[in-house]
Amino acid sequence: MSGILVLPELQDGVFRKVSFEIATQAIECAKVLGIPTTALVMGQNVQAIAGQLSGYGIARILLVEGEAFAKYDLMLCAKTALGAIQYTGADYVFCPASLLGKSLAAMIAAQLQTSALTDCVSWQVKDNKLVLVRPIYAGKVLAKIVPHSTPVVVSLRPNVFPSIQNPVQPSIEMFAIPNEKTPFTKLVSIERSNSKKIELTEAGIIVAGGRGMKGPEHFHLVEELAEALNGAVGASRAIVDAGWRPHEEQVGQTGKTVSPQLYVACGISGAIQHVAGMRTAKVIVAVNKDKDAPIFQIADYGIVGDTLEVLPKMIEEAKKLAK
Amino acid sequence: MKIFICVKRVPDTAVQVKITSDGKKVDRTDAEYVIGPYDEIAVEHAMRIKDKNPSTEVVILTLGPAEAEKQMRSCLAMGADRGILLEHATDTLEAYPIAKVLAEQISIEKPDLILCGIKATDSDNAQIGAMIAAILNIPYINTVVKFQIEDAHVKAESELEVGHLTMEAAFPCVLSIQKSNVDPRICSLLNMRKAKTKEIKKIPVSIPSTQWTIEEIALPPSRKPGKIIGEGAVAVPTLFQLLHSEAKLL
Ligand SMILES: Cc1cc2nc3c(=O)[nH]c(=O)nc-3n(C[C@H](O)[C@H](O)[C@H](O)COP(=O)(O)OP(=O)(O)OC[C@H]3O[C@@H](n4cnc5c(N)ncnc54)[C@H](O)[C@@H]3O)c2cc1C
Ligand SMILES: Nc1ncnc2c1ncn2[C@@H]1O[C@H](COP(=O)(O)O)[C@@H](O)[C@H]1O
Repeated sequence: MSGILVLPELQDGVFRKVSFEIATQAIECAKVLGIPTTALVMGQNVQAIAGQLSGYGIARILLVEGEAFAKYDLMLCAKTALGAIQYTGADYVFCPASLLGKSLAAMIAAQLQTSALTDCVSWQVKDNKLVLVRPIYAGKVLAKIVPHSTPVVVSLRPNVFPSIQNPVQPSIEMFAIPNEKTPFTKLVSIERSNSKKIELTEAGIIVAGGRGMKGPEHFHLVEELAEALNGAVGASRAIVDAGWRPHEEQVGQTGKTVSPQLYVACGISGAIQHVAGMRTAKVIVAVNKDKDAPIFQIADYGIVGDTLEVLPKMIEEAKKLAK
Repeated sequence: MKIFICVKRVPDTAVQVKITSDGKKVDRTDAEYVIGPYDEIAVEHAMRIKDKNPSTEVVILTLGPAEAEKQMRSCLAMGADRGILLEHATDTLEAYPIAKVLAEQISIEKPDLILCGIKATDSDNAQIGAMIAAILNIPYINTVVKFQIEDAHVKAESELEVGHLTMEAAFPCVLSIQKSNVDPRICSLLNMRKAKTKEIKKIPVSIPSTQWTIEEIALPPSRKPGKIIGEGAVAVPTLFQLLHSEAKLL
């Protein structure tokens, strides 16, 4: 037996966008390798949605239902996944490189006495083996890695790979929960991210502000532009450290790694640690009053000017577009 | 209560990375080293617990070359009690061999709480904490931005894409620490001097064999050189035009 096992990620009982991205990649990779793909869905009351994965080409779906799975007990999920790897004989496991997915991949790999390949940004099949490319050294260089034993556990970076619809007939099979007496961790409470806000790592457009926004009282300009473009809000570390913005908005080496279609950097100098988190954006726009700011070296389109003057005009133009 | 903190010596991230001439390795010959930035925050978290409860024992655990003693001493200067250096000069990018050796040492000393950084800034793996938990079969909470000790368990806030979770886990357990508003303390000269006499136990180790071949290490594809399209608010309409017609966005 062999195959690929896909571990999609859920939020509030729906699949996160990255789940369809990894499903698509698994299907494409499985096609080249000539092996089957199975998805393992772990959650509570997810029977109704599990079939959505078959919209992206995955026919075989294993389902485990249990309250504990909706409660972020990573060890329990890792043990369940191990069971599914053994059951399907999978030699590749695809996880999302989300914060949970990276940990889950690590726990699964450790149980298999191997290492996971974190945050892969591309793959190819060479001599019937999966070769993966992943950033290392805080994203400054890319390593091309050939794992030479299976199973291979990988996590794929969100927003980098396309998801391609490819409907097939699903076959859903209930899968048993491992025999664990007690949960490992207990969920006390969840403070949901504002569901209307677009999550940074999934956002197609990000408008980010830095110290050049001059003060938290001007940050509404960044938010308004993001809203007008239907994007998410990001921040540099300088202003997160200064307490203007919450850490979850930070982009960069010690924040989030993002790959949007469009990244608008407002008053951000473009320090190496910031760039590490956004250099894979498709198009970068920068507004900075210093024409020598390093951000202009990587910005596809730069405007030299005062953010407080340029942003209102950008908001105006963006609103025109929306109409 | 005994806290272990896994601390890695990593190259300073402010400098550009050099690649060896065969294109298969990162050239670390003139690298400057620092304490893993998240690991340092983990040390600060532990020190705040010790500030309140001085009987807490804080132990720094490092797998690394003999030179890693320098970074460990800095952690001792922050107030940690002692260190264990598992001596091995590996620069492997694979997480499992490292996690396995760290977990073995942890299982000998049986700390209540094990702290790791969320990731090492050379491997970018974000795996070791999770792996230690999996190997020892104990609870794990990831991406922790704050936590407190309550009796025999820890209550931690985990900052995920899906929201902020408050989780509880009984001892022993592993937390991986994310950056938050907790900044590592600055060490006084006196504490740096005191740290010189603290114990660092050196244990030579061998690591399990690795399972990857690194075929190539390369700089990311360079972006097109940037282009300044104009100055001030008057350039905005041109920008939107270009985004539409040239970049095919918006
Ligand atoms: C270990 C480590 C990890 C780090 N991780 C991160 C990270 O994850 N993310 C991150 O962002 N940084 C990170 N940093 C910090 C990074 O080095 C920079 O200090 C930070 O990115 C600077 O933020 P900034 O661009 O907002 O501020 P600054 O560097 O101060 O730049 C402000 C910019 O705004 C411009 N400006 C000023 N006024 C105006 C105006 N009125 N109109 C237009 N432009 C104006 C200036 O010309 C300047 O270019 C890290 C540093 C270290 C050491
Ligand atoms: N060689 C090491 N010695 C001690 N701790 C380590 C070592 N490597 C990794 N760690 C710990 O594990 C965390 C995550 O590392 P990684 O999984 O390599 O990204 C780091 O922040 C450290 O806390």
